[in-house]
Amino acid sequence: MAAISSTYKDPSDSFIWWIEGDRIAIATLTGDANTRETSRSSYKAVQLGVSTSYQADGSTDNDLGAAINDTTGTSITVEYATGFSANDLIKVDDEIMKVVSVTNSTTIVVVRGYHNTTAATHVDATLIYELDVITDGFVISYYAEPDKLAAINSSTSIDIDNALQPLLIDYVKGQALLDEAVKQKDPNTSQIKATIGEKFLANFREGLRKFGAKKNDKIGGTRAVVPANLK
Amino acid sequence: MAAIEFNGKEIYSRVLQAVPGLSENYVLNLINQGLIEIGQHSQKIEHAKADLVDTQMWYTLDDDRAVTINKVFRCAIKNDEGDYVIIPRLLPGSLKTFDVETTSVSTTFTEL
Repeated sequence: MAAISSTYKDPSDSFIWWIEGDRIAIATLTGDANTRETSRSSYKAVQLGVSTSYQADGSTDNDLGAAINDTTGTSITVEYATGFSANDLIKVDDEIMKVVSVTNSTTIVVVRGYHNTTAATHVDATLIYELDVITDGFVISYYAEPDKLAAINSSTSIDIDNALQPLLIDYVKGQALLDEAVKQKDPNTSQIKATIGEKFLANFREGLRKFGAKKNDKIGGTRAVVPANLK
Repeated sequence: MAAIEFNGKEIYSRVLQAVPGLSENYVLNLINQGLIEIGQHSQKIEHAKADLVDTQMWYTLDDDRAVTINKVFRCAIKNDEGDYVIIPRLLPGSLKTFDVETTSVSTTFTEL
C-alpha cells in the first residue's frame, strides 16, 4: 500500500486543505511526490503514483488472464492474483476497480467502476496498473449535526450533549406555546401563552450561548461562564 | 454514559405538562426542529476518515446519516510512518491557482 513519500519534509509543511461548497480539497503546495518547488505558488493534487503490476518475478507484466466481456461481473481472471490484496485499487484501461478478495492464484473479486469510473469491457492480456491509494489516508475533524429523532419512544436517546437536553425541552415547550397562542380566540389567553413561550425560547437561546462559552473537557474543573447580561 | 439522559418519551411527557393535548407526531417534529436549531451551533465534535487517492484533489463531503458534517475545522494526513499529521488550512479568500484540476468523485467517509 502506498504511503506519503518520505521525500516530503513533513506533511504539515507540504500539504494544505480548504473547503469549497460541499467538498474538501487536499493539495500539495507545489511540486509532486518527489520534488518541492519553491518558485511557484500553485496547488496540485497529491500524486501518489500509478505503477505497473508485475508478476512474481518482479519484471513480467501482470495482465488480464481473460477478456472481461461484461460490465457487471466482479470475478476477473488475471495472470498473477497473489500479488493483490483486499482494498488495492487497480486500473484496467480507464476503469478503476477495487480488490475485494483474492479467490485463487489467477482470480480476484473486485468492485467494478470504482471512484466514478465507468465499468467497461476489456480484451484479454490488457495490462493491469496498480493505483496508489493511502487507506484511511486523511482524517477530518468536524462539528457534527445531531441525528434526527426517528420516533418518540423510551429506548432512543437524543443525540446531543446532556447539558443541552433541558434546553431542547424548553425549545419544544416554547414553540408549542407559540403555536397554541395563535389558535386562541381570547386575546388575553393568547398573549399569556405567547409570553410564556417566548420566555422558554429565550431560555433556550441563552442556554445555547452559555454552552458555547463553556469549556467541555470535564477535566479542568469548573470554568467561568460569561454572565448572561454582561454589557 | 451520563447519569441523566432524556429519551423521546420523557421529553414528550415533560412538554405535555406545559402544553397538554399535543400529539406525539407534533412533538416529534418540534424536537427535530430543535435539533436542527442546536445543530447550527458548534456543540459536537466528531472525526471521520477516508482514503487519499492518487491525483485526486477534491473529496465530497456527503452529508448522510452516518456522517453529518456541519463544519470541518481540522484535517490530518497519514505520513509514511502511519502517524496522522495535522496540515494547515488555506485561509478563506486566498487566491488559488492550480497545476492540476481534478474532478470530484464520490467519497466514503467513515466516522471514527
